[in-house]
Amino acid sequence: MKSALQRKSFKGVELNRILKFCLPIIFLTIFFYLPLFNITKSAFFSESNKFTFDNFYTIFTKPYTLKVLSFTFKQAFISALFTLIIGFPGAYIISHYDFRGKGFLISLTTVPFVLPSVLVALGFITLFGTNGFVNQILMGVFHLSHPISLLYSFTGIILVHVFYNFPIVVRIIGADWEGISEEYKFAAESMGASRLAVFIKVIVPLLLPAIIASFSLVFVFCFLSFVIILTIGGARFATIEVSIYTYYNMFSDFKMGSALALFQGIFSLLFMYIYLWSGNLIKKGTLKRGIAKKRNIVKNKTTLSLSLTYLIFVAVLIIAPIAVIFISAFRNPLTGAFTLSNFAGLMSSKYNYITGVLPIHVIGNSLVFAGITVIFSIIFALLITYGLRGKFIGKNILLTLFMLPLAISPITIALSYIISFQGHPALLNSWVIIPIAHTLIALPFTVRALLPMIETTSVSYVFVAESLGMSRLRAFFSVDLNLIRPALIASAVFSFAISMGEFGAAYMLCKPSYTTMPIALFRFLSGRHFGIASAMGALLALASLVAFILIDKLKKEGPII
Amino acid sequence: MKKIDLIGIKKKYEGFSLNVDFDVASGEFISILGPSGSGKTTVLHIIAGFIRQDQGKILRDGNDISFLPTSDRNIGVVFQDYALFPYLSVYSNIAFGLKIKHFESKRIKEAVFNIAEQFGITHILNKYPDIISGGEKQRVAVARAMVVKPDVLLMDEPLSSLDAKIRERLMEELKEFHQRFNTTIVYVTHDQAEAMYLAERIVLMDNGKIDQIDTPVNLYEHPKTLFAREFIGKINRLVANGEIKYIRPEEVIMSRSGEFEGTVERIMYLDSGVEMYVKMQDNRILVREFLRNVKGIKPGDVIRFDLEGGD
Repeated sequence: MKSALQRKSFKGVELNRILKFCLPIIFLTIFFYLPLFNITKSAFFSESNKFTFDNFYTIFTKPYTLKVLSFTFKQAFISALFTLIIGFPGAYIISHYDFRGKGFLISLTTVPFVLPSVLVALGFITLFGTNGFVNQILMGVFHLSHPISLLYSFTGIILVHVFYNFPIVVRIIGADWEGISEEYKFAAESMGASRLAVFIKVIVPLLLPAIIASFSLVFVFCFLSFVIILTIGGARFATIEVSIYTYYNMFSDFKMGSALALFQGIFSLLFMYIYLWSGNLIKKGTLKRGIAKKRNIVKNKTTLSLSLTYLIFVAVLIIAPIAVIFISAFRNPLTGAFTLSNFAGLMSSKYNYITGVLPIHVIGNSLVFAGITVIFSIIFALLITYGLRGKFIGKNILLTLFMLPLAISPITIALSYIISFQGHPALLNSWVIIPIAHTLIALPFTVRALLPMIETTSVSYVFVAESLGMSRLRAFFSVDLNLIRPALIASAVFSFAISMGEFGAAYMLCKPSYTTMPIALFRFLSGRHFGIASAMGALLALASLVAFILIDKLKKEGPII
Repeated sequence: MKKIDLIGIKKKYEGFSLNVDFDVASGEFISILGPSGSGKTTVLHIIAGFIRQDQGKILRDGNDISFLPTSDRNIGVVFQDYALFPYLSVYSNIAFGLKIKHFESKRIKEAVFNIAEQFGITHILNKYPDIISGGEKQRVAVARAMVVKPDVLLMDEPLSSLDAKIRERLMEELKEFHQRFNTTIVYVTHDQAEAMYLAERIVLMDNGKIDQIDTPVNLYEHPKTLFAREFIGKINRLVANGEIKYIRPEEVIMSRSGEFEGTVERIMYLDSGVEMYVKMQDNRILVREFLRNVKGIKPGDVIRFDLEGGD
């Protein structure tokens, strides 16, 4: 009797799950897994539909592609390494000291997740470019005949990647370091370990999961770098991501692009896997966790001055490139005088040959796409996370399937759409394809932001509501949604920011009439129209800033991805 | 094993000041006992060198080690949750100190196997700390601290995170371990039962100061302060004719011809017997009895009893 009852309720629960998964699975199948399958097919089959390894053979034999491969790995490795080195002291400071403004500093570590990469490029060019602020000052002070060229080089790429990503290291390693109980250190010291030995034999092994996690995450981000390579690197440099685009754009070669995309996907997947796996390196519960007593930073003169130097360096590195965008938005690029004409340019048809439509319409496009992305990704993420709630067989596999888009690059997604929907121009040429791509890119972030909240929210609240006579649906709207509101808003803001800033997929799929802000920015930059670029950049930065503040208010702890 | 002297040790924090003076004889098991916030762990950390004292000296066999870094103090420490390195096997955890001291690998192996045998943990040497039991963890932690042959073993509430049954067994083990190795041990705890059972002398601490240093028996039978009376065991405070008397619950003896009488308010059945609160004029006293002696008694009944001893 009892077991029959249990079985019945078990079936009911499972049916409920399956119903919730329906919509997201249909969406992912049509707009992710089938296109991915088509890319695989395109990479392995010749024009005459014969199975072949030719495309891969070309990748590993042609000097151009070999150069692309080695450059991609090299820059990603070096970027991740330096990011780790620059981020490490920051992780130490936030985990060991208390000081005013620390909360703000920790909040700043969210910046890379909400700041569009094209904006970072704009900021660095405005700051360090040949006509940038730094060069203008240096040339004025030292009467140099030539500007210092920091950008448009390998070093420039590394510099921007490090800036963009080091907060990730501070965040991930800092959080773990803070949790390491002092007793490990004490235990080692009591057995005769010096400070150096404690660091090497105790702290580093205990931080190893965090080190591996942050390294592999930064590696993936740099490995898939696109717009920074195009703008900061210039024509001499190409990552795999750039060359997929080049093969498509210059040679209309889908096959090589597909093969490269597949190769790239395998590696980004591998490093994403390492990132997620590193969390299990030291089994939870065995690590003695305690919040170490924070010292006052002012106590020791040497630490104080070292920390201050680092903090100022960090603040300059994070804030300056964004600040200069706002400054140069109100500056005449030639005379340097205060002006509003950059913003006036947003309303004029002067740049229509670049953007296709009035720049002001570009802003409208971005807002509409972002709005639709938010609606789509929130609906899907709610269905997915409520479906995943609780324990059941196959949960991890399902979660992985929903999170997989994280490892696939925007250019790959765009290419897979072009290959898959060639026969459906009404879809491929419609503006809808952009919010669809953005939903796919944002979905893993929204799922990841909502899941912990939904897993920990007690079901009994809803049971209480239902027992008091509320229908299940009304209980969802008046109880569930209120309980998860902070996480819900945070993930909505997140998907909004992702869509506003996304460049690669939109760039590859876009038609002139629905140019987005990052695309227009990139075109202005390429055409060296710095005035209007700064004006639009300032507006995009403002949107990111609002997103940053909202996320900071709503999501205090936990990993972002 | 060496003797440790703490002379005029002072340490100030905001709203707390520590001031202690005591010595630990060679081979002695001494326990620092006190409520949380009494400064007992701070004392242990000062002996270990994790914290530097503001004033005072620490002597080891008469030699000043006050400013020696922890790594040169030759101490062993066992922590509350043992702080076994989770990324090292049991073997490597025990070998850690020997490796730091650059012993030959052959000698390390010998020493680890030797101590593992003495502590009965040879079968778990290849395991990692996350899969061994609480009792095994304690043995590993003690073995890790002892393998470097420390002058003194410091233990910081090593049993407080374990449940009652296993705690009793490990107390037994620790006592046996001390008798066998004759190690100098400083054992910090807030649990009077642990201190009473294990220690040869107890340093009772209250709010940064030493309240009384004595053997467990003396501390129980002749507590010198109100704090000592109330912290060690349960005690009744009786006011009669303007005089204050302290009487342990077991010093209240039920008897039909008893001198005093009172009304039973509440009866609690515990594993060690029965505790009753008895109302007696202005006082409310705690009585401890065997179950067989209180059969049939219920709240509201009047009982008679004698009061023994008391000072």
